[in-house]
Amino acid sequence: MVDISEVISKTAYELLKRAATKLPQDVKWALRRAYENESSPIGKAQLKAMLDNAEMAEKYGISICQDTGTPLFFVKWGLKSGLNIDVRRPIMEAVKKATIDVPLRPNVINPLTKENPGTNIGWGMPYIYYDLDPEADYVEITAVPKGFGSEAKSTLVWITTSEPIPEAIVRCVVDNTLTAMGEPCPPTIVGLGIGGTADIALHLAKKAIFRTPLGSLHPDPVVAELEQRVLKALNSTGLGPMAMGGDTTCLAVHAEICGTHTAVVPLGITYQCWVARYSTARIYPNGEVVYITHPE
Amino acid sequence: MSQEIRLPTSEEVVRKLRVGDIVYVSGIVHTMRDMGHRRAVEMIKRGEELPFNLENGAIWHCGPIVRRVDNSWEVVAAGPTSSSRFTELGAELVRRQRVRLTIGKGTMGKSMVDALREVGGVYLIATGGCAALYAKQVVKVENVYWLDLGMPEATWVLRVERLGPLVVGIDSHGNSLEQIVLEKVRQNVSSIYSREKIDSSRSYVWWPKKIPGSIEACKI
Repeated sequence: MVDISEVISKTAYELLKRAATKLPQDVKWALRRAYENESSPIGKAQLKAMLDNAEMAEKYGISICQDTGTPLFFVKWGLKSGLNIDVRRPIMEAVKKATIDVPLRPNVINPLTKENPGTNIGWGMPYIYYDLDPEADYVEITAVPKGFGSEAKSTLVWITTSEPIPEAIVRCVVDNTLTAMGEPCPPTIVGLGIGGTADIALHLAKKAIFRTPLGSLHPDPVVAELEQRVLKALNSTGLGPMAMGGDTTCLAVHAEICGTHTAVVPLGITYQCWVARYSTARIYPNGEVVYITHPE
Repeated sequence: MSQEIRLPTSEEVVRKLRVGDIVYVSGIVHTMRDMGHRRAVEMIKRGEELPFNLENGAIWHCGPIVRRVDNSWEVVAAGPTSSSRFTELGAELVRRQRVRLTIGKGTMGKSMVDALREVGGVYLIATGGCAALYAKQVVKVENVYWLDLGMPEATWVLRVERLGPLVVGIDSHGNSLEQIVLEKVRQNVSSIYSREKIDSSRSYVWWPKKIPGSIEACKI
């Protein structure tokens, strides 16, 4: 008899470790491409340091960035898996173990007292988002150790429907990105959530970041066109890697939409730094685990 | 092309550096983040002595991952954190302690530009996210202070060997790399706006009343 709880805990640990120490293959390719195309010497030197660093972290199995963020988990529950167990407890065990063993930086504090228990656990962290998939026969877990250099540049704005929405969005994303300068560690992945309510817009923007493969377009051609417009605009600014000047400011723009009120459209803007840390696996009821983003 | 700086350094050495220069730093650096900056400045204002010496030295905006090995500490990962949070407190430390090198990522505001010009110091930009690379350049953890603030917020006294590459982001003559980059960016943005049919005089945003991201806000 397989102890699924144990499998979840081991998998969640492995996901945190892989996410913290190894970039997904498509992100590595995108950085490599940016390096090859970069015309600014200072921008090229930044990308070289990033690629060298990623290689070194992978080789020694240590964190790519010292800000291993706050532990977020996206769980998609396949109703056909027949699994009916608590994932919170095994995920908490995994976070505790990863903080000591990987190690991750103990970042999580009480937001009012600033107390740091040193475990990355407490007051609702790790935070778990739940979603259902009626057709899937597995439980899918994505671990996201989310760094705050990029997180803290997230924004929510409201655009009235008297405005041309796509133009307004391009304007807002360009301006916000230029104000953020080097602090979200460009080249970034930009996530946009358009519509819904305040929380929906930001949540969609956050989830959009982890779309795979990196840079794939939204199936709705109107959204896809906007994604390409924003990407082109950002990469025409000349801001470049770490905002020191150069050709690649952004690796990809992923947008999601949701129906919204006729008066005003919320736009959530989120950033993922070039150290794009997320790792996904599927757990089947027989205990089999398939790693999606980091196969080995 | 690149320049070597050995710590402690001097006003004379840092006055020679110019925006855009690539620098490698060796010697003792002190890490400091939000809570450490606050504590240090408050102690100084009360007339107390800091437990460590920053004179002619370096502050690194960094919260490393550090591991206990037997009776000593080992840095596992160490890279820069966003520096604009420390503009006011950092400028205070430059003025009062004669800190010559401030290392971080992003940029720092006007108070820091002024302090560096008056005192003779530079702001150096490390490549964000490169914690494995920089950790390998930390040869020894000499000491740690204020561990009660937590591992990231404590002040770690690190002996580094050729910490870099670091780029001079603000020199001691009032120049900043940010302004040079933004000058070019502003020209590019006006052609992006006209291509995308965006009217730059309109905000397009209903709420918040002041659009949070506005290129005007980028000015130091």
